[in-house]
Amino acid sequence: MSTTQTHPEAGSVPGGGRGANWKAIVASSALPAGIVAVISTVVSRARLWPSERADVARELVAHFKDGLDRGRSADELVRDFGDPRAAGRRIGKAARGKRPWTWQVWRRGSQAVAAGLAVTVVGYGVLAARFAMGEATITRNIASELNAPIREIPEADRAWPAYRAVLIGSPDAPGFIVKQRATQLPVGIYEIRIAAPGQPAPEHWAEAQAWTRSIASELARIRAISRTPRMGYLLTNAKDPGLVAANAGLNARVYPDDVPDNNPVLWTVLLEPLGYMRAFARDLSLDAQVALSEGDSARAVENLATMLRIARQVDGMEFLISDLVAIGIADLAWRTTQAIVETRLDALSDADLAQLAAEFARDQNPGALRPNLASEGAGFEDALQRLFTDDGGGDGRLTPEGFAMVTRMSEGYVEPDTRMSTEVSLEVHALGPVSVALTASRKETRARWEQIMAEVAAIQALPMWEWAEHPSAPTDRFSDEDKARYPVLAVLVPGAGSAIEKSEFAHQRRDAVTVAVALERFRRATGAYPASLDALVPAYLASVPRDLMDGEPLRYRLTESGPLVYSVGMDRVDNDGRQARDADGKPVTHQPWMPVADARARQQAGGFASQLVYDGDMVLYPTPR
Amino acid sequence: MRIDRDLMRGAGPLAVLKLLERRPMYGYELVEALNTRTEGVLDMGQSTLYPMLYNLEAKGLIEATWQTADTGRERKYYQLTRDGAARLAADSAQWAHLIAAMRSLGLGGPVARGARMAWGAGVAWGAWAMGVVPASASRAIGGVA
Repeated sequence: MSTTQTHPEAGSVPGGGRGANWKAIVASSALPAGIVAVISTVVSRARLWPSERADVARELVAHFKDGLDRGRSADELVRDFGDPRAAGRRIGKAARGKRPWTWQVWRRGSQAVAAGLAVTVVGYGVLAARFAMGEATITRNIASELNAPIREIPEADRAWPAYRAVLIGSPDAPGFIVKQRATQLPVGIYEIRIAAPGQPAPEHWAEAQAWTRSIASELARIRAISRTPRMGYLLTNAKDPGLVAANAGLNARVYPDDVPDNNPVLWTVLLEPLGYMRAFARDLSLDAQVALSEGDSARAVENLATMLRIARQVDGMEFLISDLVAIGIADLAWRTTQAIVETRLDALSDADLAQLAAEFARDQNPGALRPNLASEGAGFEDALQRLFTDDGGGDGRLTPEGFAMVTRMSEGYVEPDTRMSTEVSLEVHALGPVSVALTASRKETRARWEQIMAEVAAIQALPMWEWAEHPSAPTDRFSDEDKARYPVLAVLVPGAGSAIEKSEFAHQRRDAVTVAVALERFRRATGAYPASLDALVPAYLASVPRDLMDGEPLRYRLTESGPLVYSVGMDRVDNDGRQARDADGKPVTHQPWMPVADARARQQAGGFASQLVYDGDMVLYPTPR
Repeated sequence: MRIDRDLMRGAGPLAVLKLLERRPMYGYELVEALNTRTEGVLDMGQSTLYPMLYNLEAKGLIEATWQTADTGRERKYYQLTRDGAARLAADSAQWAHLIAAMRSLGLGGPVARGARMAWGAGVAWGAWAMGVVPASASRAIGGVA
């Protein structure tokens, strides 16, 4: 074998150029066309760097020339070579294996990245297509379902149309809204309380008298309408043109472009009566006090009874928000009664007291005037059918519109009108496919909703002294991860825990004023207050109300200044009616519920931890000063 | 006789390493040697040989150098590396054991040049012809000298 020589072979590339283009190498080889074609195919298919291609071309040129020199024909050589395309692929693969390790690493990395990108793009494409095709199938008109029993109520037995007439009035006689609009009531007028005999009238008392006098006819009609069994309000998302006109000029939002839906989204329906009933209740409370100061106890008591009847009408509207408004109206009635009993007990006749006792007793059953979680079920069902697809088996995924909706609502954006906006932004289209793939399905969302509602309801079903945890606990356990997984629940799960607690304390105020009325009736009948509350049963009380804190009968003491009714408070320690006070000496009239173990632990810890646990009792009657 | 591709996959590279054990060879030389010395048993197409050479080079078992002959023709010569020599020795031993085992099963009867060979014996003969199987194993194969 010779070593390197300097005599170029005929047909070789002039200059022996290793850097020569491979085509030039093949072209200058003077090999038969068939062989040239084989070499060209091999080199082309190899997909190598130019220098590598030149190397392969040069070697194959030498190979075939050696074969021809051995007397083989071009055809034989071409035949024996095999498939040049396959050879090119294999040579290319093998030759790339000879490249530096840095190139190998880069190549593997690039392949991995490309593969990852391809998978991501394909995967995202699949998700995007799936997302875009999501469409809700609305099969129920839930508003209509809720309206059906209301439509069966005779018009005369529905309170709302009559209330509406009071609000709107007539062309000849301005209604309540117009009168209210025309009267500049001072701020705080609804917080004033009737003064005790001999005491100066509270600030704005004259305005209160003037105002209630001006709406006397409306209040009289309201008292009558309150005796109608049902509110009878038909759900709609259409603005009431009469109310809109009456409120024109006030700071009220008016949307003239509203077109009523035949199948409105349930959480966008207008519950028009709620705000107006609260307004009625405030004026009835104010008028009750004015009436009593004028010696008209019958009107005062009738106002209080009217407020409770309105509360029951609102309570029957089958929404959680209406439950809460009803409780608020009833609580106002109870607090107004307490204020009257504390300052003008003498102005109430025996008949008045009996009427009040009877009225309060009407709401003693456990479900009355309390938040009803079941009333949220209709809204939730409507949300499911509008926000999710429906596979026919009760399952589905969030639609683009649904995703857009919950995103807006989770950001605190409240729809400005009564329509559920179906706008799906580019951002939603971009983020939705992946987000929806990670969120819970329709079935999973329903299951989790039912679980949370059941947990809250289980706590609510117990008396407060048997609570192991606050009714907010099930929703408090809804973590940020849960909110991401269940975005619909993040915006729709009602924060009923706090409302449940407040409702219970409101009922305790009712119990206290019920006991106060019973004590007064006993005193009037016997000449003295009883030694214990047991003496009031059954003539003046069906039973002695329980202390929410420990389930024992409400505490009662007879002091020099009169009877004292109290709860042991959050520390569950009976302090003989010593009112808990804050650092400034002000009476603490509300202590949020916590488990007794927590309360004890906080007291022992002292300092900041103990600030929510007050040493002392909660005096319920009379109002502590 | 055409050898099954799967069998060739294992024997081909070993045969090339064995040929290069003696001296460097260029591509066409290897083609001829594989064909003539094994009577066509290890005759593989060049579309298979050249990729095989590139693979062996990538694995560091052989290395290539360009050399110019007296005629001026440039050829790429392949020669065994140290790693290639070690691999050759190790694989040779394995082949010897394999052939002995096959023989013990009755595979690969008496061997004669040009005779029909049973499955496995063809490869074994080729390996022996290449010198892959040491002479000491020849008795196990059947006394082929």
